[in-house]
Amino acid sequence: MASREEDKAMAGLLRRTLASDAAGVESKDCPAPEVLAAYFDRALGVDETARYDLHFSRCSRCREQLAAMARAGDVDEAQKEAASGWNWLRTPRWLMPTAAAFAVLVLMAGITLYKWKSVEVANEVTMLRPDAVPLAAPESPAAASAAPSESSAPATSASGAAEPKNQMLSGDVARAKAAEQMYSRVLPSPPQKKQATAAQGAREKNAPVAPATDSISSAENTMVAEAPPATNAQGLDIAPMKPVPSSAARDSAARAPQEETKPSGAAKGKTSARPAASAPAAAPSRLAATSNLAARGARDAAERARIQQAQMSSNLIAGFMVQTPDTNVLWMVSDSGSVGRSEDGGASWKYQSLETHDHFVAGSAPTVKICWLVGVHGEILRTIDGKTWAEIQPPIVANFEGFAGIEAKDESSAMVTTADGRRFSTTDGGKTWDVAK
Amino acid sequence: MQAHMPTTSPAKQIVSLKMAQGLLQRAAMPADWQLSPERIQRTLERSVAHRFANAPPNDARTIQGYLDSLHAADLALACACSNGNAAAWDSFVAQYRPELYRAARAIAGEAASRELADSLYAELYGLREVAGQRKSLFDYFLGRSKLTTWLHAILAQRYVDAFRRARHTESFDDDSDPGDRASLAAPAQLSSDPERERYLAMLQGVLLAALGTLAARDRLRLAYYYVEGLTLAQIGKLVGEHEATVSRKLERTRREVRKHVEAALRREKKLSEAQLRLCYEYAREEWPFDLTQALSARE
Repeated sequence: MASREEDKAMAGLLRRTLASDAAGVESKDCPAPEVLAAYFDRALGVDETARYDLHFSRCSRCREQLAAMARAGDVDEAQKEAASGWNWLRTPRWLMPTAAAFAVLVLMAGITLYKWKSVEVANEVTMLRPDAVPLAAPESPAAASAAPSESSAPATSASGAAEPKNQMLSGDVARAKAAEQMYSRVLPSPPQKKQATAAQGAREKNAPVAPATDSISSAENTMVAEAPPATNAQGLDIAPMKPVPSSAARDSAARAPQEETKPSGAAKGKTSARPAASAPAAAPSRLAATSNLAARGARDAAERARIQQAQMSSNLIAGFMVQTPDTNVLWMVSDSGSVGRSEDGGASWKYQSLETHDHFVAGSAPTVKICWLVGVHGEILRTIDGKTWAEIQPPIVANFEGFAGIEAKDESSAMVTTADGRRFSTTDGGKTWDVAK
Repeated sequence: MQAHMPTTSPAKQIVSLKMAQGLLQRAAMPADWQLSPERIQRTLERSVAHRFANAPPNDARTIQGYLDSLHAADLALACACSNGNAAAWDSFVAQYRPELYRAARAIAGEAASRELADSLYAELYGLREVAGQRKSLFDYFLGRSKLTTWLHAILAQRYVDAFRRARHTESFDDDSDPGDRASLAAPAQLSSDPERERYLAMLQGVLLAALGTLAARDRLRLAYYYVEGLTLAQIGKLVGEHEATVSRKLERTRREVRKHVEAALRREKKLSEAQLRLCYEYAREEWPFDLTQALSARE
């Protein structure tokens, strides 16, 4: 019998066996809807989640309920999409012309961006500094006065009564743009990274300069040092991993993988690359609109951070703990992409968002400052100062199924294990990887 | 469900009035809902007791962290509705009633959805009275999830329980189902091949053993996929993984299970390759599952 037929037979066997195998589970142990809902929303603690995973894996009643909830959730999303009013775009009649127009736009934006980037390279280092981001300075009078007015809040501008508002807005936009550019280089989205892996590896072998991640990491350190410390309403510490405007940029960075050509590229092209071509009257309104979006994004991100902070502080979300040689210093990595650090044995935590789309599954901390993390989608992050995280070039693995483990010796040496058990080691901080025996 | 609602609150001293006021402030609810801090404090105490039932925390920071993680606006709405506030109820109706019917349709299908949603709707309003007091289902909402998710969970529970009750009754009442008749048939009537039952029982036994060694998450993914028939995206939502990850992990688990089963059949049951192939061939056909399960237990 062919292997495919055997697979079919095995699938049938699994179906029948799993459907009937509910022995040892009593319905009185089944959780209340309150708990099911919290499990569904991933709001249970690590201990509770593990306990209920075990129960659900053996209880067909609870599984049926969760399955029904998943189906009901699907309806929610479908309704939301329908309510958005853009469904007509999906009809085949519109699909082809729209796709063609979109492709042309993307091409034009790409060419514009490419030209603009070649001019921008010389100013790259300056742009990474948040206090020196008057990108729009030579472009519009309103933006020209933006940078100085940021530091002296109620600006004494000579440009008229409406000027201060515009100054603030353009300042925010400029900072958000700078942060967005930085993040797009520091933490590229997984698909982009995977495509670029081979080329990047080749570049790094030939070039005598330090890898891109390291240089960006140091720029990031500068920004972190300049950023004011943040606290939430309850006075709990939140580690300022990124500069203040980063929440807006973080949002746009998070959206980038799905909509690669959408806001960032277009915005850059319009406001910076071709300033002379844009109408002066339209510029402030566009900036105001962008700034409103950024402000809304910042509010959303702040609310998410607040809930995440609260959940983590009471051990409410799933994740794993990484121990360091010092028993007082611990790392906690949550499923939602946050990492917490405790220096008092877990009594208090400082949290950072990892700015990544990967799902981290393992970590190793050879010292109190150094920690390596690996994700199922192939990302490797490392901190050497206990504060800032840099992405490490992963090994190139055929038939890659994600990482499952890591064991680090110091900031340069580590061995990663893939999901299918293959192991790769580095002794130069990820610049080169060897198959470990 | 009543059993899950604590009547006494061990966390009585833990949630202060100030904490309750903080939550109300965060909820930013309309003034005409007339929800007092004392009322929300009582609910928060129950919520804390429910979360920390096994190990009550002794520091205010942990409690505050927990309270901050609650869905404040949803909790305030539920409390106000439970109080019988008309403005809050209007707000709930406007915001959630269409959603309730939609979810009921998705869970129970068009025909049964109306009845399912309406029965829940009545309980939410509090038509039931206990000792002269109106009892609303909203009393059981403790803010740990979104109100929408909680409503889905209740709908799902009602539907699944009713369905299981009906299935149980039918399996004994309705003897016209050929599948059920087959499952109750005597072994001698099942097949002319005497080896068939033995092979299937062996296969069944080693498969159960292989499933028993799996991690809870792996087993859960398999069950969602093979038994509940969920899509990869739906499974991903339930286990908090991307659908590509779900697919990869499902495939890995399936490989592991098969490897385990074949190794056990070769090593423990001493089957040859030809006999192994024969097992798979038998497994592709229909057979009375309950019987082979019983036989495999004897093996």
